[in-house]
Amino acid sequence: MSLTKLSVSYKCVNSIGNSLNLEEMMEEFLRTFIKETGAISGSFFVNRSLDLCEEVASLGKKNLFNMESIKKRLEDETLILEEVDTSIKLLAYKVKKGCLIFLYSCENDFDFITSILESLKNKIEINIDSCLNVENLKEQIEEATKENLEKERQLFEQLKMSQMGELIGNIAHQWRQPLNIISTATSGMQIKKELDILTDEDFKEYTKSILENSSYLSGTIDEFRDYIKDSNKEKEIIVQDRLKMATEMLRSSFSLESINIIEEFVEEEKLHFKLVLGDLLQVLITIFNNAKEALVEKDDLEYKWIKYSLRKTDYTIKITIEDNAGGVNEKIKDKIFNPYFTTKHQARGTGIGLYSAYGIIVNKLDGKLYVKNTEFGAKFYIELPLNVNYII
Amino acid sequence: MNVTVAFLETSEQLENFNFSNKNKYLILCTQNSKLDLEKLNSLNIEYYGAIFPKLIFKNKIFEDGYLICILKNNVHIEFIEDMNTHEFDNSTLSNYNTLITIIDGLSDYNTAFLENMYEHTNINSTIIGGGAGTFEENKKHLFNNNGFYSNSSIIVMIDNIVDIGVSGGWQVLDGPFVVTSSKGKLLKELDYKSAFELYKAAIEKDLGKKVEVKDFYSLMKDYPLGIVKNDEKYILRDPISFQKDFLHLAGDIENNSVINILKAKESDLLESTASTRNQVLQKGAKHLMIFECVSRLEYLTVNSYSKQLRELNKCESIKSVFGVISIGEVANSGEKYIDLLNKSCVIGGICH
Repeated sequence: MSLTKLSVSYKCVNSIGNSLNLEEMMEEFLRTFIKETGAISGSFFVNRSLDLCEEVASLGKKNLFNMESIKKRLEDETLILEEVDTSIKLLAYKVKKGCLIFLYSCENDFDFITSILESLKNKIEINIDSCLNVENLKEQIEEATKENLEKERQLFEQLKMSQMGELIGNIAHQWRQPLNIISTATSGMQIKKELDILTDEDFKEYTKSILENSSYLSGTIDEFRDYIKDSNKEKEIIVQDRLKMATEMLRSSFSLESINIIEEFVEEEKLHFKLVLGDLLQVLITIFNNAKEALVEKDDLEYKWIKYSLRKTDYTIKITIEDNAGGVNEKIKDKIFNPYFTTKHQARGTGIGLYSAYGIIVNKLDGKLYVKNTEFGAKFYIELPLNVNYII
Repeated sequence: MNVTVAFLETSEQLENFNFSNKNKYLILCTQNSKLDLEKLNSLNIEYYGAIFPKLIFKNKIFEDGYLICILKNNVHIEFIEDMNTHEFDNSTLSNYNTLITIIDGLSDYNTAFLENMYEHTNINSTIIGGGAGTFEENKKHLFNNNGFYSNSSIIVMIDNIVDIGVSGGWQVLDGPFVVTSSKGKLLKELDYKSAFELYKAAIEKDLGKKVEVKDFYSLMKDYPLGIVKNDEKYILRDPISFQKDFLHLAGDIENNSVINILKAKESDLLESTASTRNQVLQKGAKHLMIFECVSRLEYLTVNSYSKQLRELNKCESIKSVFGVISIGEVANSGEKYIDLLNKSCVIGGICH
């Protein structure tokens, strides 16, 4: 073989399979083959299915042949070499999942050109297969990711609903006492009126009590509405207020389980932070509830507590929530923020609560969320970065 | 196209030229030619132009002056401001037989641009042209009524059929070598060795002496690289500078290309040009349009080239000879895929 022919073969063989993207891979091969063999144009058509013959790459002059008739003829033939014009020849070459079509001026060495194609056929077919397999895999991964995202979205909804259910329970508990007071005040007023002993002093006293308690009830409704309604709006909040709201919402239900919520330290300076209103509350409630569930299982523990703190450091706002339930098993400590990981009974735990909290703090707010074991139990750290403009 | 070409030696002649606003004008000039676009605009004419290293008119090579091509109404001309982003989707390229194409010879985008353009031409169309430019840094070499541009192109589309010929005349000095590492115009490795060292060693062997790095620039023009093609011809690539182990070429070179280091005798080059000219003349050309590579001319020397031009002009059937000394040449008559050429002489013959 002459040097020129050897050089052409060498360059062509090296141009195959340099990408796993079918279009890129075939374009590189076509460009090299066309240039090296002196073609006018070249195209590659792929058969992704039996009926579909699709152009993937094309270089050089366009639309100079009828693809439909060539496709039909290639069903029976492997190679078509014929004049399409007085000076131009068409060369169509069938490969396993498609065909290559080139146009040449008539004075070319077609024995050499077809012999190169013959020698490259196997390598071309293997690489087309590889590219198509990668395409299929990508599609499957995309489909699976899409399904997972949908499942995750549904689980987040479920989590929210379950948290709302708990909060409604808490609110009901919180409402009982003020409702009792209102009821007592109104019935007291009614009896005294019937007995004609209702003085102006009494009236003022009763109505004051009713107004104070109804105002308290209204406040709890506002808090609950904030949690549900505004959960997609970005607002500047005071972190202390969010922390207070979370503890207030949970305190009564925790007291039923004899769990004390203790404020360890809260920074006096108001700490402002911009975020979606419900997000931080959701994280706090998740961590508090996890602590509660761990404590509920500790039947022999006499004094159950959850301590929280809020501190400002040079670069962060740091919230800690610690319980005395004994801590997280070191073997699973690295997994607790993973999706679908739960230590709870299937009926109670989805494994999405801490995963969702991690997503909010780390991915949305660019902060940190981690857990350490102390001598008493688990201590969760939430760190929110200061001096950052968030785009949520 | 009726070929009407005028050569003007001075800017005063240009200002006083009998321009008509019924025509369009292609103005080719050199870096020494004084250009005042405001004055040209005041003449109320549509013009396009490019600056080349030198101009060819009749039997002379000019380092100064203006070659004015008068384009009548049936000629379509397209000025492409940015070769990198231009799309030919709605272009009229395919309606014309010949596309005289001037590109910015120093642009990184010219190979991709030519390939893109080629895809939109018709099956029989001929592309002939060359790269404008000078080796002055940051200079813009193409212009029109709106100002000067770089990375640009001018395409003159005509109905005439132009016969083209390309001359080389280079012989193999050393090779073959495989390009084992390259990127765009940068040649890094040949046969897994430093491209520069290998190239330098081949030249030193030919000269029979060690070559100082400082003397290398003047020697490179005599030793182009030839990319081996299937038709036993070469695509030439001019080394224009070097840096550590790399050679900078005047055109792209792809990985896995097989190349030879070439050399020529002056007589071989002149003979090759004469043979190309004869080939074009045999087809009845009356006007010759030349795109001669700047480094090929340096090798030949202006004297021997002028002698050749005088020979050319002696031929009675030829009415005019005009052209430019270019940086990169383009020649494609539709029989194969387009390539940007180096160190070549492209001759286009127009018969009418």
